[in-house]
Amino acid sequence: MASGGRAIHERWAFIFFLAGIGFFVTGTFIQGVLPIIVLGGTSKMKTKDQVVAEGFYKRQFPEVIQLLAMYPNLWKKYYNVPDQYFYTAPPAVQKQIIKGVAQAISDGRWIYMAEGCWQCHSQFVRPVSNEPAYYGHVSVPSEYDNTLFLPHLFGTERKGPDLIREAGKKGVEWHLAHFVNPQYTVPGSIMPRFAKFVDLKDGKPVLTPANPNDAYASLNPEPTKYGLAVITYLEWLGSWYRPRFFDEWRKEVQEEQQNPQAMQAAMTSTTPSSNSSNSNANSSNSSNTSSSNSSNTKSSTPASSGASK
Amino acid sequence: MKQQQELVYTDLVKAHMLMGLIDLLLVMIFGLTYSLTFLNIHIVDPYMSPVRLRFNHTNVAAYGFLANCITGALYWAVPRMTGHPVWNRAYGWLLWAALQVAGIGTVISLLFFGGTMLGGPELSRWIGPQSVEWSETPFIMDVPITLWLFVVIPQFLVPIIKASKEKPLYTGLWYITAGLVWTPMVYVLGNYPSVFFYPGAAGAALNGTFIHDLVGLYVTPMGWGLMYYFVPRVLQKPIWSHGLGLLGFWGLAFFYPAQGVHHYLWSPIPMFAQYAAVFATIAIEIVVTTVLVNFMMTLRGSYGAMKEDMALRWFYVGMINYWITCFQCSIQVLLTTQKVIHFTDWVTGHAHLIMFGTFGFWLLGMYEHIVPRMYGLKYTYSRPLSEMAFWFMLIGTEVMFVDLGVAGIAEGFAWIAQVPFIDSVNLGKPFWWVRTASGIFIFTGYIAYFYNILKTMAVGRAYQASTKVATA
Repeated sequence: MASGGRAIHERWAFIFFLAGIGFFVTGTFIQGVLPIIVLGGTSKMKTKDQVVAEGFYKRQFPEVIQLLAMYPNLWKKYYNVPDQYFYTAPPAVQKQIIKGVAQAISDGRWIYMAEGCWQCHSQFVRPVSNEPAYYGHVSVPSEYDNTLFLPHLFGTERKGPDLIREAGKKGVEWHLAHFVNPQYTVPGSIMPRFAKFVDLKDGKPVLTPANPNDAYASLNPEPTKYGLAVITYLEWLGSWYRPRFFDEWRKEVQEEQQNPQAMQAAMTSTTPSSNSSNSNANSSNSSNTSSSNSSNTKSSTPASSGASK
Repeated sequence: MKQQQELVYTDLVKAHMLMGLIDLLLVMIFGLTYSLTFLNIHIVDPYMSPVRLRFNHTNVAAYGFLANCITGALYWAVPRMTGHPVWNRAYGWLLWAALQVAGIGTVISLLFFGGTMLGGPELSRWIGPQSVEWSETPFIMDVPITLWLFVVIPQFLVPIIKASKEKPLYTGLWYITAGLVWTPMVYVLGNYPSVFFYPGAAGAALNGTFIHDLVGLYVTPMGWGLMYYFVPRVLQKPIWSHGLGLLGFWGLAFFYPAQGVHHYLWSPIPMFAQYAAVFATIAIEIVVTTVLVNFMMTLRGSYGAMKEDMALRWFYVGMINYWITCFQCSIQVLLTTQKVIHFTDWVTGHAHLIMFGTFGFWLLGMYEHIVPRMYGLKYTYSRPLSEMAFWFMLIGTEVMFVDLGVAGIAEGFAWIAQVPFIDSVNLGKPFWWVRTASGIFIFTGYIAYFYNILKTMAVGRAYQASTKVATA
């Protein structure tokens, strides 16, 4: 111990380079670099426009199309999206719609990040703990490989439900009411209000309503730019991965193309049994439980909820 | 006495300590206010998202309280361990000022920039909070913090190199040497690749590595390095076993960097990385036990000192908390346990016990030891206040830990049972009331601590003035 020369492991350079740099690089290689290599690096990463275009062409965006139809003025004003139905529009207009929607999703995502939504809502479904039955399909690495998951938003805590399979579960009007005061739609919710997402015009939200429906009935909310972006983002999340729901919807579209009148008739006949948007507050508990199941039933397909507007 | 004053520059210790303690006060105010959200008491949500308070709670704890208090303790301990003063005092003041600017900038930008606030979503990438857990500091603040972490190295490495040329380095200095080089690398790893290059699962792997490395490769080595100085100093006897010290250090250095992915178990990250993380996490529990055995054997025969010396009490209670947390960690990291407790409040309780119950306690204990000695005193201003601070913070922390642990298990099983999500939230509400109450306990204790320290400094200044007059 007397001579510094002998005990090499007790000299600064040995510790600095082996423990400091060497072990750090080893650990990071196992925990960071190898996963990156296995997942294919950034070679297959898609841009947001590519992702949105793919979604439109695969007909994965019924809710986004509903949003475009609900607020054409706002889309025109904020994202320069022309008021045309995507699938019958000329290619140049389609490109414009894709660009606007991609921008809205991206904006919504940055708001979701900056306002800390991801601290309480995770974005991956684990293959355990009955999560596939509750939320939807188990998350796979490939679905995250685009710039709309850069940086990732997996989250490490759930104070609210997971959101990666959110598309189509709730509906635009549900989200609006929920942002005015989460207790309108989910009594007992601890989520904060997000007043900046909703334009209440002259109405004022009631803080703790005795009857949520009454309190909300006097309001006539419309999304602000931020609200529109966030709702678009939420309705986009998971729109690419709902196989059973998507197949059923595509079958309906095909039937509609073949025989529009019969389809209309079928839709109106199913309306009474469906949960329309204004009864969402009462049935929020039950719709939460069976969120993945209810997406299979005809009543909550976007085609019918869109038609009710 | 004279030699010591030349060696240690106490003004820098004081400056870092004061800013660190003010930051801890902020951390507690942010945390308490945020905890009210869980009780449906929404104070800030008409103006901003309350989660911004949580960003501040965790980030000010890391880059305000821990960074300041650790640096201050290093200014005290490194010259004494090495026998050489730090590199440059004027440089030290520059570093101090830069750290405070970064801290204040972080608070302001986390509260008021990005998202729906100033700058909007368009500028959020540069000036808004990032989605890197525990480093939500925006990009414009990341760059100065990274630079700071690099340029702070020579300040403490220079005396260490000088000492290394004279004789073998002391165990505490191994930790500090490694910690100095780990910290900037960890920060770079966490704040740039996963934010700008690697999306989704790959980014999450890097991010998990960052979250864990910030604990494991910054706070832990600095904490243990300082413990290796302060505990023998207070007990007036050497550490029990040099061999166990070696085992503890090299085990920590080898296993700690390889366990980050355990923050995202059962996620889309490749399973080999998850298995490696689980293995390394369980391995580190054995290493931690050797370190704990070493320190407990050092204490053997001096148990009475725990009663006398407040600082020692903070140290050893912190160590017991550390062992509890690590033992808990080796259980909760198992893939089976993860099915229940992942995403729940259990993790929050775990984090509070390690970050406050261990490292917070250690730093508070260190300043309980340092502050009187800076002025040549032996004790703090008031023993009852010290005792009160200790018991309030201890009870608050342990209650919070147990409470959130139980809440986490309840939530986890509620989710497995597939109850409506709001039912699991309602299940947590009683526990969140207890959590806020325990937070108030901690806050009360901390106020007593802070007041005691400020008073000690006032008394110390008066004492110094009187001795100067007497000698002159």
